[in-house]
Amino acid sequence: MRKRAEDRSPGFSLLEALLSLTIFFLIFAGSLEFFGTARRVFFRLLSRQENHQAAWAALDRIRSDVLLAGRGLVRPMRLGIVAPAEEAGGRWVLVRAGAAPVLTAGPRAGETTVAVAGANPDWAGKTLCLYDRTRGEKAVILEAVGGILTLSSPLDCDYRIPEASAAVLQTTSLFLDAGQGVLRRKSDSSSAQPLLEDVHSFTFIYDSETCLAEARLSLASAPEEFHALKILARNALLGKMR
Amino acid sequence: MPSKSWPETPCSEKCADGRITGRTGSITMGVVFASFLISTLGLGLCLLTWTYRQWSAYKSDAVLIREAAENGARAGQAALDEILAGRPFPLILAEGEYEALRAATLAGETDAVAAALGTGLPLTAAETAGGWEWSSETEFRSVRVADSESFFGAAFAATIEARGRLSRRPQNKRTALDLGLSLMAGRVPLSSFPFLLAGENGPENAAALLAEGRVVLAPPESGSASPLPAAAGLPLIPTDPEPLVAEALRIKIFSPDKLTVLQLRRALGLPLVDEPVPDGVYLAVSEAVPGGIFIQGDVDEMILAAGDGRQHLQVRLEEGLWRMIFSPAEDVLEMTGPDGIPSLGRAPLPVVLINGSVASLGGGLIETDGTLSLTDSPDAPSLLAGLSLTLVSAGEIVISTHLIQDGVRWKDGIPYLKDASTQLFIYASGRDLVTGARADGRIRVAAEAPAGLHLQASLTARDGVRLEGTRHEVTVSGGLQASGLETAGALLTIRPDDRLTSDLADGAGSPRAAVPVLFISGREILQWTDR
Repeated sequence: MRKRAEDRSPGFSLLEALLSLTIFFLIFAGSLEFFGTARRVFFRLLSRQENHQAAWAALDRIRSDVLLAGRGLVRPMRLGIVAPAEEAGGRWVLVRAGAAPVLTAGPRAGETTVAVAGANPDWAGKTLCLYDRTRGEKAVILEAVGGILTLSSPLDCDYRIPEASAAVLQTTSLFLDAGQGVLRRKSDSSSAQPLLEDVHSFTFIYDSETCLAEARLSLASAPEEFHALKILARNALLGKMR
Repeated sequence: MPSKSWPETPCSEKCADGRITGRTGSITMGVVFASFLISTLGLGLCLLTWTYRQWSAYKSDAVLIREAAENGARAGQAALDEILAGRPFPLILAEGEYEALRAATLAGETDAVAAALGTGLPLTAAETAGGWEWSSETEFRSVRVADSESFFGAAFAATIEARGRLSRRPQNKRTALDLGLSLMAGRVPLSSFPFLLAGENGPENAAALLAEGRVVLAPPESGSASPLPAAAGLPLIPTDPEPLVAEALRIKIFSPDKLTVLQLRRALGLPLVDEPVPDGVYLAVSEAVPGGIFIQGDVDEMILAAGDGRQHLQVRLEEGLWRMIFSPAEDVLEMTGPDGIPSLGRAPLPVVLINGSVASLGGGLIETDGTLSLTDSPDAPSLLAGLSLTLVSAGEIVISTHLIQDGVRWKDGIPYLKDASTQLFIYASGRDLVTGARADGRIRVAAEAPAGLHLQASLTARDGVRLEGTRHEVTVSGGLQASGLETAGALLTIRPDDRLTSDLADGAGSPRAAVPVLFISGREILQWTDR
């Protein structure tokens, strides 16, 4: 009797072992499925989050450009010489004053040169805006050497110092490279840099009356999901304030 | 029946008491492991959620902090506007104060700004709203000074440095708003004031006219900020047109001496006898530079017209009709008197002195015979492009028709001066130019004048301006400075001329303030800059 009892005391029976193995595999399989699902969800969320962040970063860059549009150009905007944002050839062009050269002599009508203090050779190819309180004009700078800016066309008006001011315009273009699905940003004459890849659609609207800008984009990975930005172009608005 | 699948494992010492701990412990361990697993996953999700929320909160707070900073700049600008609106411009200065301000401004100091604002610099402002906090500090620096004989104009750059934060976050953000502020001080040209009522109850009358909408101060053509209306209880309109008289006659009059008949006769090339100058139209003679035009007596009709690149002026007195055609660019003058015989000469200085009153002044058409006739058409230019003409009268001037400058652009029925360099100053001094006797120095818009009258001129009247008739809508593109204004139901719109209100304006041709004053002539918000 004693031996019989000793024989039965420790160890698992086959039934117990099979049952435990079955339970173990069930739990293991369940865990695998759970972790697999969790992994898929995690990476989907991660991808979505990365897309959100990339879109947010691109929109934040656009926000900065919109906030700067019209900066340093209050009078030219009031005079109607410069538009802070306008569409040209499918691209949205945002304009601000990149530099404000100091005039050393009053520009004269009919002349194609303007004397300034410290001309920067990099200004060649950019647009010069000349203005005073009541009038102004624009001309492309052909050459900037030795304190002289050579313009592409003769000036229309005479300007007096110190009433006259000058600004070298800096332009930023935004456009969707639809072929590659890349939203690009081009500053002046430099090459267009990718702002956001995998873009499905991009629209930019600027209301010149209210100075409100709206950018909307969607990514190819989620074309039905739009990322949008609506912002007041505050420097552009200054050109409308009385 | 033995059913062992593997040999018995010897019992350890720990289970010597016979308890089989492995069976119950495995379940415990399994539960612990599962709990750990679930807890780890749960905590991980909580951590991810917390991180996501923090990041989202940071994003939204970053926007709010930026808004708070912008609010700071706006508050700084509002504080500046409030100060300016509360100041009784123009401020009357003592001679000593003016000299001190002039010296400081020429030295690049900002004392003139502090005096104009009536407060110490820099300006500071701080506010809180809910969980938002913002503050600003406004500093000024001199940009340029235009110093003239009796006044100076100065431009200053102001930067409103603002900080904003949320009370729940330590971070703050800075932004800046750049402004331009210009001022004038001294015996300034009165044309610098787009609208000035200076005399008894001047401030009260100006406030009432503006509040009732009988006077509208429109924004300048450049679109910059609307100028501040000016009013003073003291008479700022000069009682003596002597500087303009001396300039037109090319003579020097040393105060307190007055113009004498002999001086006048000598200036006009008349026989030097002690008798009054007969009524008529004369040219001031000068060996070096031509002088202005002098009219003795009351004028029945004075017509201005521009055509063929020349300025036409026709004056009708009781004694007859005088016609003058001149061109400053060509330096020629053709003058025809009542006798009808033309005489040639050099172009006169564009200052017309009228020692009398003008019963009718306006723009006219040039007829085929060369005479001028008054016209109600706003398309007929009255003043030659590039000409700056000053009319100074001893007595009343009645305006009958439009006075439109040549070279203006019409847009929505309003003449714009953007491309024009022409100026017209009309000054009723209320004082006989020779005897100094008191006269009626008023400018009156006739009841028969066109309903939508356009006057591109700066009007200065010692005894006030009166708009007669009830259907008038008078637009003055320039300025109006007077001791009083009677609108009689008419609507007066004043559109300032940027050239006149500029701190760089030389004020040539315009009468000067009788005493030194200080006022803000312009302000402009220039740009936002994030720091």
